[in-house]
Amino acid sequence: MDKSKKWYVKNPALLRELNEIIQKEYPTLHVQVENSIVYLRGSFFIRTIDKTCVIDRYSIEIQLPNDYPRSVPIVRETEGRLPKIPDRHFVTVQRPDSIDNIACLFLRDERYKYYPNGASIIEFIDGPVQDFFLWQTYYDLTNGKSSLGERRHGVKGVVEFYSEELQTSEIRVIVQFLEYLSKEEVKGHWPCYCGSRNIMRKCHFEKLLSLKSKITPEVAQVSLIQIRNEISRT
Amino acid sequence: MTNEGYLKAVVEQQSLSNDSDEIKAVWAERKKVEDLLISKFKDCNPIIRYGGSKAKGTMIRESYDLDIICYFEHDDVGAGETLEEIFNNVKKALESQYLVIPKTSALRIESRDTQKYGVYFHIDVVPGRFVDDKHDDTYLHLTSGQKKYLKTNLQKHIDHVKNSGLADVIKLVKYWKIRRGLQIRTFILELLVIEVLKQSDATQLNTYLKDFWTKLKDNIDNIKLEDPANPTGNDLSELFNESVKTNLSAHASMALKAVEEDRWQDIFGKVDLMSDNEKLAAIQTIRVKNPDISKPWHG
Repeated sequence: MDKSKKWYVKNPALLRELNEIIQKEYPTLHVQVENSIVYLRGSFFIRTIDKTCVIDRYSIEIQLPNDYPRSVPIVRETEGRLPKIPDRHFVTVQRPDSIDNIACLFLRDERYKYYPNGASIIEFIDGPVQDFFLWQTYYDLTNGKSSLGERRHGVKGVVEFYSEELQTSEIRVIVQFLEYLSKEEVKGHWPCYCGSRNIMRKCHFEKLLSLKSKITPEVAQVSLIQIRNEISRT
Repeated sequence: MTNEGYLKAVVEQQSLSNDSDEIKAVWAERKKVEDLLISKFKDCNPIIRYGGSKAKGTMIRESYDLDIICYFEHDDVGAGETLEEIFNNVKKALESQYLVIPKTSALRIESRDTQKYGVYFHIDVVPGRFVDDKHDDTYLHLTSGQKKYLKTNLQKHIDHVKNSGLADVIKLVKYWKIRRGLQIRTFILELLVIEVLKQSDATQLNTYLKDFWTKLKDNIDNIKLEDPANPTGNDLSELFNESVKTNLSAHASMALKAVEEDRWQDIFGKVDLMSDNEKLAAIQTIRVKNPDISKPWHG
């Protein structure tokens, strides 16, 4: 890869800042640059709310994206302690000469809640990373009988999310909503996605605009395709 | 409790007996791995030995492993003509039952079971070939770096640690490494402890540790490490490079500050670990304070 395009080469101050903030807030994680990729590696502790006791510890790796701080970092558990299976919310990616097991921290459509654009790496670690491993510890302590909350796998999780947001389980409503959400622009005089035959301006336009400010058309498009594929499969 | 009493309690808490569930699991899996290797290479009679922290007596609860050393005779090409072929053939044999992750000279094995996929067995297999029929020195294939092989001696490494008399200090330093997330090979850390403390007058764990961290803080650049199995042939400078030294020195400095302020528990944590019920209650408290916890999703 062309090194001149690396974020830490274009902006060395950002890497210095990263080093400083990680040393201060998470001194057991260490910034390492390997093959032109920046990683945070080390021990991640789950502590009690007053921070005095350790509930659990994991060896983790956070791979920062090439467009850091824009895209979501990739998180891995590196000690081999957790089963890398869908029920534990890991996705397995086949690389040319290895297998990569990546933590699925949240549904991409829900990024705005847990790691919105502009959030810092510390907020990422304090938020979705902490939540993910807290979930794993809770799962182990209850032998998988209880959960702190999770999305259903695959497209069912997508449908679950939009069902909650739109307060409907009607797939045609969700699909229409996503069709609008995946457009760059939407108009208030379009028929409302809810199927009422009213124009959106006089119906649920606010809901659409609210999520439009949080979910990109690209993400909505991916979810739409996933649901459509599932519909045509069944 | 005195500081020394506290450190001894930490060592005790971290120690794993042969009766522990962890070691029983490792030992049970060890037999399956050995049976697999012996059956796959039945025409070559591989010689199986043990290394790693189990053999050295430095296992801790937070970090333990068994190295299953699988060596072939110097003049036997049944497992492969070259070291690389031996390495790849052993890898292929293990892949019939395990997920195999190649490391620099070892093969880490993980579960293929659908419910435990990717879980580490705390076992690494180290393929190699004896240099001669004395069965002491061996050649190992290296998967990275400029050199493609190294000459080593398993028993020398084990004896170097066992004869140092510093097993408990090494355990505590390993635990410090894990808690601080330090990115340094355990093998190098062991050599460092032994090298730094070989002339120490200390007799107690707390003074050994203070001596160790003081040397790392004040004089790390003057520490020279040699591989006891091959002092002139194996260059450890890449594993003990500037970045590693800088990081170690900084963390040693932090450790000494904690010691000066009598905050040993900041380094090694509490001796009394939380019970499962206490952990569950603590998690529920976190949940109540933060009800909008992110929901993991498998896409």
